[in-house]
Amino acid sequence: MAWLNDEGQWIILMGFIISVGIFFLALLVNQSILVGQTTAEAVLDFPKSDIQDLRNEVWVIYSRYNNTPSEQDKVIRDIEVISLIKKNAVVNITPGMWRVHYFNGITNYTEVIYDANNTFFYFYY
Amino acid sequence: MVNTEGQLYTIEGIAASVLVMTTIYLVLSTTTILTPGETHVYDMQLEQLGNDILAVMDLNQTWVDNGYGYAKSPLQCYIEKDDGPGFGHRFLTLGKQTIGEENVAEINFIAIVTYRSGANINTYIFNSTRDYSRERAVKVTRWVNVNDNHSNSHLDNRNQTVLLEVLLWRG
Amino acid sequence: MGYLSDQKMTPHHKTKMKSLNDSGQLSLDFLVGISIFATILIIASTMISGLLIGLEAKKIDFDAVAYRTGVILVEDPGEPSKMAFDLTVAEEQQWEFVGLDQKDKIRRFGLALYKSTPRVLAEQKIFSFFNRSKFPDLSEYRERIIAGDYPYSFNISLRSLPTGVTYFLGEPYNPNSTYGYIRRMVLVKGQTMATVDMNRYNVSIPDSSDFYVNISYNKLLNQSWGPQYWIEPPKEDITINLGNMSSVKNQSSMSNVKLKNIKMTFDGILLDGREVTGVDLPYRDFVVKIDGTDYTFVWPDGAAGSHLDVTHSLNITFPAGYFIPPSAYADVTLIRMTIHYEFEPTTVNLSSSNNRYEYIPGNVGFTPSSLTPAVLEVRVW
Repeated sequence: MAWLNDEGQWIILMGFIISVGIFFLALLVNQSILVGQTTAEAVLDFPKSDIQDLRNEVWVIYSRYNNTPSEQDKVIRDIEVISLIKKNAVVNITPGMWRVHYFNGITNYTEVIYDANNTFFYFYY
Repeated sequence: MVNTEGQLYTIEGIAASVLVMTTIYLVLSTTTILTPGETHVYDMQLEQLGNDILAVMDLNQTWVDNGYGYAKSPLQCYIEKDDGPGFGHRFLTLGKQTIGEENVAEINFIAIVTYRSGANINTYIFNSTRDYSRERAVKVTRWVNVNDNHSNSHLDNRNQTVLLEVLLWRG
Repeated sequence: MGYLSDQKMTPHHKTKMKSLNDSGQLSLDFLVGISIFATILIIASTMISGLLIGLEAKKIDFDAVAYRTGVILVEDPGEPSKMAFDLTVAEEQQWEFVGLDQKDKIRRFGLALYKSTPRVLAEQKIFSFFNRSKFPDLSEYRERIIAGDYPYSFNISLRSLPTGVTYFLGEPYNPNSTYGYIRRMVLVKGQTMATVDMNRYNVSIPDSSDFYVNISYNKLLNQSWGPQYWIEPPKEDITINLGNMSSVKNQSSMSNVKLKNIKMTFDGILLDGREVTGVDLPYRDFVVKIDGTDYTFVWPDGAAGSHLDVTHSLNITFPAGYFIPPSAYADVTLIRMTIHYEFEPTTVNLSSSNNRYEYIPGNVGFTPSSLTPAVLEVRVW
């Protein structure tokens, strides 16, 4: 009777091989999905557009209100207060040096956007 | 003798099937994160497009000085005149532009303007295509500087920067 | 079943072989077992078909690569790229002007004007990028724009929205197959042009036969305009059209307006701090269209057979890169470039107090550069 068991085992063996194959295939696919997901998440998580927009707005404020400090302070306060409430991001803008500090809990970013006292001022463009 | 032989082949077939099916069940149940991975990419594309459109609308075609010392952008004019429909039309027009045969899903949005009035932060709906229910949406924002000489009844009469938020979704 | 042919098989196996092979028919229970297995296998393969093809995963990777390529093209000025305000640029310091023999100096393509102006593209960079003569081999583009090691195929297209002019680069793509995709909205900064109505310079008592067009660099890079609206003569086309020439014809003279020569002079600051004005520049050849006919001007004598009759118009387009100073002048900080039109004395009615045109936005007849929306699409597979 023992030989009968041996005969049928190749069916189970094939089933086993196929299972292992599928498992490894799934492992590979899973890995590549993770790559795509983390790329997209990294892009979405990093506030690239927020920072670009903020830089742009600092340029706008600098060019429009550079000669009227009182107006300048009000507009900077608009940005600081609104971004705290609507974007959960701490924004500090220091006029004169035009230094920007941005912190949304994950990303911490500081940059001197434009320093008019720097003789190589075109460096900032 | 004959009976047992017959049963053994069947049992092995069933056993192999159970093995394969169990593996597939396990594999498929782990790869269901495939869907969120996909939508992340679509979110990324939509967010980038929305940001691009707002940036494009935030620059005037040429540098003209209409007595302000700077060129007003179309976006600034839409907000100063409180022209929500004009903004929405331009936004959707730019959003539909493609080159290839790409099938562009229709874009819906709600645009909200946030402004500061004294110690209060207020918002109002600038324009929308339809109400937002439960779609998967992304949010794009743009700071817009507004001149004190505006005709938007929501805003204070002063030079200020307001936040334009656009909630975007496909479908 | 190689072992079945083994000569050292047991008698039991031989008996079994007989039952399988010699009888000519398989046993019923074996058929039942194998068909259950086969059925499940077929069901299984249909269930995991997505897994076997693996399409979705690839698409995500392609999308990420397309996104990164889009960012490089739209938000980066490329490399090498000189800083703004630096007008003493040399050809090999600005990638769109790098010549064929120095093409390896181009390290990365990027179409943005400056690093501070994402999404605003320079027209000259677009022309240079989509012109395949420098890099006929697509793999050379791939290593300069695609962020990835795998040899991806790509297709990049750009369409200007007002004109509909479309540029393509890369391999043709199959719209039905899988590819990574990103769409970017951008602005393209166009070229400038000055149309001078000469009637405005017509005087009753002429005391000059010269006309000047000033290109003042420090005024064109006006900081309060913002970098998107600057004009950088070395990097852009400069077009000067003198129209209505007949209006400055000297009425007492029998002859038509005659052009003697066109010279170029510059004002600048030398390396030792000395300021120089009106220095004659040995210019490169350029083409002047007089009443619709092309004449090539060569330094120092101008066009062959000068003393050209001008009845209606005198048009010059200096192509982008023309005002990149020759290496002998690379140390000079340029303040102003002057195009000096020398007419035959007594043929024109011009006054020495009123014979200058400033090439600057806001001046009469000046067409400023306009930012026109365009769509950029990147496909990667």
